[in-house]
Amino acid sequence: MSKAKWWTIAAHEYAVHAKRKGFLIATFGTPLLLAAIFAAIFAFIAFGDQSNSLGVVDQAGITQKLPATVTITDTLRKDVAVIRFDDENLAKAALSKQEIDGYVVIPSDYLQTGALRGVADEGNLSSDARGRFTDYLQKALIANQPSLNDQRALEPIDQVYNRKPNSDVETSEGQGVLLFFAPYMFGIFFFIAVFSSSAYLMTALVEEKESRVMEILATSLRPFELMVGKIVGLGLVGLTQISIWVGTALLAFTIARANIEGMANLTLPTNVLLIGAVMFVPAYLMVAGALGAIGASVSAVQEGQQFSGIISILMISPVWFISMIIENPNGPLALFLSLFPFTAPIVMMQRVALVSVPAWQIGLSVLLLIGMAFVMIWLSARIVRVGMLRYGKRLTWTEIRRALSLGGQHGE
Amino acid sequence: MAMLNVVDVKKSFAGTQAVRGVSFNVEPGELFGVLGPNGAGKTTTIRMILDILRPDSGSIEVLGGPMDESKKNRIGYLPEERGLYRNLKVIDCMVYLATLKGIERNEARKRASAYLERVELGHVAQKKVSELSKGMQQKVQFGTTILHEPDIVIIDEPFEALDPVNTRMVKDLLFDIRREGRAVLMCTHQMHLIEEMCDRIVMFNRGEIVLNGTLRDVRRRFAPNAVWVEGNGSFDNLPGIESVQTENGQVQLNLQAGTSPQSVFQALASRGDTSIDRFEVAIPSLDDIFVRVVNGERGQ
Repeated sequence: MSKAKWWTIAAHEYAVHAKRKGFLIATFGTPLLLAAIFAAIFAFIAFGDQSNSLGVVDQAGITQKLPATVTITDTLRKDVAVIRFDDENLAKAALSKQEIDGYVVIPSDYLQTGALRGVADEGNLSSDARGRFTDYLQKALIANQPSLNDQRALEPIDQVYNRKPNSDVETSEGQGVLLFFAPYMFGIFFFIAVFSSSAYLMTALVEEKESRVMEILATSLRPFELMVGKIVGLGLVGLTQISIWVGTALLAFTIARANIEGMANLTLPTNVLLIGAVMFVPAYLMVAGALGAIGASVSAVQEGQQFSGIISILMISPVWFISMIIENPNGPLALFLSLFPFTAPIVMMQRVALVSVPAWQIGLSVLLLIGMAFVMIWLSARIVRVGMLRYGKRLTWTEIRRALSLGGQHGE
Repeated sequence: MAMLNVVDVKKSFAGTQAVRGVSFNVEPGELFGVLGPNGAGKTTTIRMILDILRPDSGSIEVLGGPMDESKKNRIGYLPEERGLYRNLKVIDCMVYLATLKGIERNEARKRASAYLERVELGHVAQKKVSELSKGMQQKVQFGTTILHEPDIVIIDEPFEALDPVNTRMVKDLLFDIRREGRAVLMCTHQMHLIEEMCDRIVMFNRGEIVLNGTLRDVRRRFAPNAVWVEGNGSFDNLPGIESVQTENGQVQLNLQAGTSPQSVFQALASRGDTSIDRFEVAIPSLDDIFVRVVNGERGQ
């Protein structure tokens, strides 16, 4: 095979697709959008509607062991002072002078009923004020139980350190959350990068058929060279995209770990990234082969998209079984899905994050994926040869079957 | 050495014989015309020459031997079903297709710019292909066919969508190729262009070649052994004339076997009551021949 020609195709496909607006928006816009969403959530929590000071009128006598003013803290919001008033008139006066944003009256039968009376200018207490009063009352009630460690009563479980049955390595809860989300997030990145690159390939093939450029290409190089060039070029487009996404995610993680106390001890599940990296190329080749065959068989882009939807559903199907996989990561369903080539990348990443997966299962999964990639590329090369000059009509199943049995023969 | 040598080539699709034992050759410095009605097997034969399809039997030699990958760079092809990358700039599209024919990128850019200037499209080099008119796209497409200076140019309906000025431009380019000793195989339904340009022709009908030879030979085979005359006076009772037909003021004198046009001319000139404005040996147009062949005639 002439290296120059497939490389020319690859370079052309990369240059054309990497400059497309859609690609640039998706590649750079996705991390920016995620960052903007997180920033908006943070800003909403930190700077949203919240109290400055609150009041309490205790008619039940349960707050006597607390100081007159108690500061209630919150991780993301500012501290709020809860001031105790001796009678409701004082509280009402403080409210009218806007010294407090609202107050609650704790009636004498509170311990029996749990009912409070809230007073605020807006007519009802804000959710922030309600949360602060809950904390305040917890403190008051605990203060009346001298033998209790109030910190433990407020927070009975501070941390659970998990470990695998035969391992000394302990995992914090934060790390556990990371282990759940990291493969999930990387899996989605993986799916989008693999699928969008393969979809570009399918679209490029159909467009070249529709625009009749295919016949010119057919007289310049062999169909196999054409496919190799397109697959390599568009694979590099996908690789660029996923590298930018994963790189941005890693950068964000590093910055967050350095600046957020609760994240300091978290470590990235490198085994998940490693599995993803190993599986990316064969998974891309498998999907590109499948979509390439579809592109060569159909006569219009829309028609191709209908067929490619089946492949995308197959790849994303592990999401439906996510709870079963997490509950039993070594169970038969998880094992099957991590070996079946179309679901293997996402499920295997999830499994290695959760449990020790036997090496033979990882090896078999990768081998099956590589095997399926070869099958798909072989199928697509056969079908492209027959379908590339079929303008305006789809290949029939009989023609596809004949193409597969033709061997190296030229198209019929 | 023939540029192309096609010998007894056959091809069937799902039981239907599309090409039935076709043979012809194209020599260096020749403009070779391929005629035939739609579905006659022309495109299938061209695709077999280009190795897009493989013949069921027979042999095809290109540039002195069987077709192989290295020879693809020495052939330029303008297909009947044609198109360009609509979203690419004109110059980028031309450069890309030329690089696929083995031309180095910078050289391809130089040649593309020179070509666009020659066909008066220099001002659209940076425009997208989709912004061009059909005729402009046709000239760009023709450029992509010849930019790599192929030894054999195979073109299907090269003058489609071109006005007379642009038709002349493309004709000149084809004559240049012929002058340089390269070969052109041209398919078209525009018979007058075949008549003007081609040295030899083949005509396909129902998968077979039904005519093959120089234009002069082919016309002779279909010549009716008659002369056409225009003028005043009587054209009856001339010696050696079998019958007389008159149509639109033109008289066709059908000659008896053995009668020469010269003797008829002399007989007419010697008549005192007859004046001659025009005297022409009747030679059928390629158009007439085409229709007659398609209707089953084989000529003499």
